[in-house]
Amino acid sequence: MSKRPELRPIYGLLARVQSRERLSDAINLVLAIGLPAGLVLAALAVVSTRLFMTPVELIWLALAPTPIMLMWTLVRPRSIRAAARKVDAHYRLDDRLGNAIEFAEQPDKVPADDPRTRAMAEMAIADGAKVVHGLVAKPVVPLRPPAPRMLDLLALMLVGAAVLLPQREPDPLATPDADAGPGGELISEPAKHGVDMTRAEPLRDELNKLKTSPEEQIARIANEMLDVLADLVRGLLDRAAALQQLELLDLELRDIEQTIGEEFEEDPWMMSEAMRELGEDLREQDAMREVSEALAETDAEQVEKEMEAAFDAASESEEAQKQLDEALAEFERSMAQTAKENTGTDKAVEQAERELERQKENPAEDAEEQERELQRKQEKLDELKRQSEAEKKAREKMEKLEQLARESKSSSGSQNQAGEQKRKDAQQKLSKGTGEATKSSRKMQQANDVRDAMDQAKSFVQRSGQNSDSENRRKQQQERFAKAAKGEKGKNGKPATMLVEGEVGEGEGEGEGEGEGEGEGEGEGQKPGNGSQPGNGAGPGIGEGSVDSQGEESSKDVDKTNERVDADQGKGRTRAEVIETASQEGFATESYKRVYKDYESFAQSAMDSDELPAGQRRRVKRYFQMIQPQG
Amino acid sequence: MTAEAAPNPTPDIAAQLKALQTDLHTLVDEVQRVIVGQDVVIRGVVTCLLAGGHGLLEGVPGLGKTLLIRTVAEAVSMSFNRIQFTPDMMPADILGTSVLLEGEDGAVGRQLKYQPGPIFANIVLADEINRATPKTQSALLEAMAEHQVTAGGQTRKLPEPFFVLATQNPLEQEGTYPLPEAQLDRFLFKIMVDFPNEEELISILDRTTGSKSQSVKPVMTGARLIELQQLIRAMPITPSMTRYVVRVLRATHPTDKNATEGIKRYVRFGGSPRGAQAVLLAARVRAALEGRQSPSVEDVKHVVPQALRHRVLLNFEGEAEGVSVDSVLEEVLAKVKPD
Repeated sequence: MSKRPELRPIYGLLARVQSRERLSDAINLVLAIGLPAGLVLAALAVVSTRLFMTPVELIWLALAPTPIMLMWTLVRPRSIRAAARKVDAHYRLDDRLGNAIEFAEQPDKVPADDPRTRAMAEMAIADGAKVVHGLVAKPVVPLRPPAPRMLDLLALMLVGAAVLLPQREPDPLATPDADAGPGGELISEPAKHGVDMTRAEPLRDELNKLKTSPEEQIARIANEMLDVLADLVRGLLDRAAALQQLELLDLELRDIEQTIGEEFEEDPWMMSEAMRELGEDLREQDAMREVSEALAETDAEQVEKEMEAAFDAASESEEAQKQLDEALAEFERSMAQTAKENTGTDKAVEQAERELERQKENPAEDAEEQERELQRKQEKLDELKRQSEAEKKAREKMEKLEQLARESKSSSGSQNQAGEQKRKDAQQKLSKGTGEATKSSRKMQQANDVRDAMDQAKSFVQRSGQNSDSENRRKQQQERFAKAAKGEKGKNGKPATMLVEGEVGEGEGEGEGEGEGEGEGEGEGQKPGNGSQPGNGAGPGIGEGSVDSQGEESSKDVDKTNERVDADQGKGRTRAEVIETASQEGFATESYKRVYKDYESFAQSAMDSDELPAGQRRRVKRYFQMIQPQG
Repeated sequence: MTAEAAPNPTPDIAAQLKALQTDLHTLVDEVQRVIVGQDVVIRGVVTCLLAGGHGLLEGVPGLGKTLLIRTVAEAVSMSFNRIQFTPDMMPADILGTSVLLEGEDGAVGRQLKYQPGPIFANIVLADEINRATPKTQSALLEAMAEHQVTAGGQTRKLPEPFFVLATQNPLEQEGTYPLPEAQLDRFLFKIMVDFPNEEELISILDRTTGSKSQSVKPVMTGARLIELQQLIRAMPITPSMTRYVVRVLRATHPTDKNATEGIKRYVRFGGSPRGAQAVLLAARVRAALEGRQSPSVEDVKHVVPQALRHRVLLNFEGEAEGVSVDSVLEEVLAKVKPD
């Protein structure tokens, strides 16, 4: 670009116009965009500070749009031709300035075939240089701030509303335990970190109870779980860290459970159930009412003490002795009944043995698969045998207590001194034995309670971080569950389904099934088991029989033409409808593991939110342990 | 560009431009002695003369279209023929025909002799052109585009300068045939003749109902007109102006990226390259009338409606909704910006 001397005034004027354009743009952008954007950011910062306790320094974000706008006005490319056009338009010069600089800058674009054309271009340049004198940039680009808009007012109101927002009270749990309630209570706080502690109230109560347990290890685990939850609410731990700590505690708890299992030869679950039944049975016996209460509370020391007190009290009067004898008779009956209860373990052992034998007789095609199956079934059999042995020991223990109760009665022996001494020895042994049994029961029960609490805590921590969409989805699914349970209609008049809709994905499934052709067995197990032990309920089986059900193909000549036959309409849904619904609702696409997880999760949610007796809670847990997927 | 490249022709050119401006104003003033008002129409017709293009005047009967053209023809002192188009007119009635003549001065035998039609004149007034059938209208195509006619196997040049100034009634009038697109494209301008306002109407009545009739004296010759045309074509155009005109023209096409919503919705075909030529030539004339050496954006915006309104074809929806091409072109001018 060659700047001819006579055009310098034009370029000077245009440069001044461009400077004013930048200034005008800066004013307009900052006021029209930067200001409302800054106000909105300021409002967000104030809201964030008030509600989420974010640092006050966040308010400086409000200034961010201004430098961005200024930077843009500086770097934005500007055309000198456009500036000339603007001046021409303002002074009504009919593009004289613009044409002049264009002819001067691009002389090669002027046709050279007619000298008059060149001459006229020169005239245009001279004309432009002549008219530029006296022109100023100021009126061309006036620096006027933009008029206020509704948007600005709204942004301002937003800031006002944010400022009026009350400051949220500081989190009481953010301060040391001195601020916490009695017993280090966790105060519910819905907003912070998305953790709603109100849902964890029953869990917290349970853990506080377990914290005072005489069993040191259990008390320690409970205490540490409370600490993890408190740290989560304070924000000292995030969800992932809290879950990690709970997993570590879970590992410790498994060790404790294993130790308890090894500590007692007798099946602790059976003993625990026996002591609970005994407590129930003795409730109506005046002589042993205190013993019954102590049994209900699984206070082993108190049980022993109260039994000795009952024996001492009986020696004071005949009436008391009579009542004691009645209570001991009830004791004896309760022990005998519990000992005779069929847990189904023996049948399960037999079935496991049969399955093992069948596996040996009908080996899988793949040798590795066969070996794996054999190992799995052998392990299952061994486990069941161990369980059976433990139950046998427990029965023996109960029979011993039954015998001691019999011997402790006044009518059991002769009235001579030796007989009296023998009776007192028996009473002493009975007190001690019952105490020991209660102790083992308590240990197991509290370990189970801690296990429950652990599951609840994990579930709570996991769900605390889920977003609202997920929560809504879960709620909707729960509502659908409730509807289905009540037999109400679902969407579009279709029957409500209890099936959980899942995403249909691609994948391969591998499964195996086994069963007995005879299909015999009873399905109800009454005895709870711990997590390391397999369930003992043997259910009816459906599986492949040894006989080919189809048989050989017939050689008889028959008409093989297909005929369409309409099914009779009857009550209830046809199998086709069931299959159709299942295919639409996604049942067939769900793996059992996933379905199990969902169901267990719902059950866990219910247990978390509802007051549920400990026994029922154990029963539910036990049920889900029994149906959990293998492998 | 330096003074050496062009040996200082500036004073001469300046004088020529000044003379051009004076001559044009004189011509306009002379026409306005007869025609009251209609400044835009008069300037449009003069622009056609200077740009060497043909003009199409559209308006209801009685607005002085024919008078205007006849007055212009008288003012420029050139041969003038008027053809009144009617539905039964044949092409030969315009172009001329060969007739059989007896031998003259005792010559033996008869011979065919071409009798030129009324098209052979410097200025041809094609009055109510849309009353003729398309066949007859098409007879003008060659004459308008190439300034020649072919009849009886012979091609004959038309006198220069040659202009067709046509008038037509709005198509809604009964007994009219729409002009073919090819012929429309050959008109530089389509000038709309509006009804005069109150003041103008009073003045018309005063002039036409009195005893004194207004007459026009010739103020320009055909040779001078050709000189002026050449001077106009020599006027320089900036590259940005050419780009702007091209962008405007392209934007009248529904498929162009700059096409407005109105163009996309209501237009079937946009302007042809002849449209862009017409815009640039007409813009030059306007600049010359204003005494400038080069046209401006305003000049272009001013002439675009007259130069493109007959070249932009509306589609069925546009016709059905009564959309005016001028409004669509206004949208284009508002959207397309120069560099």
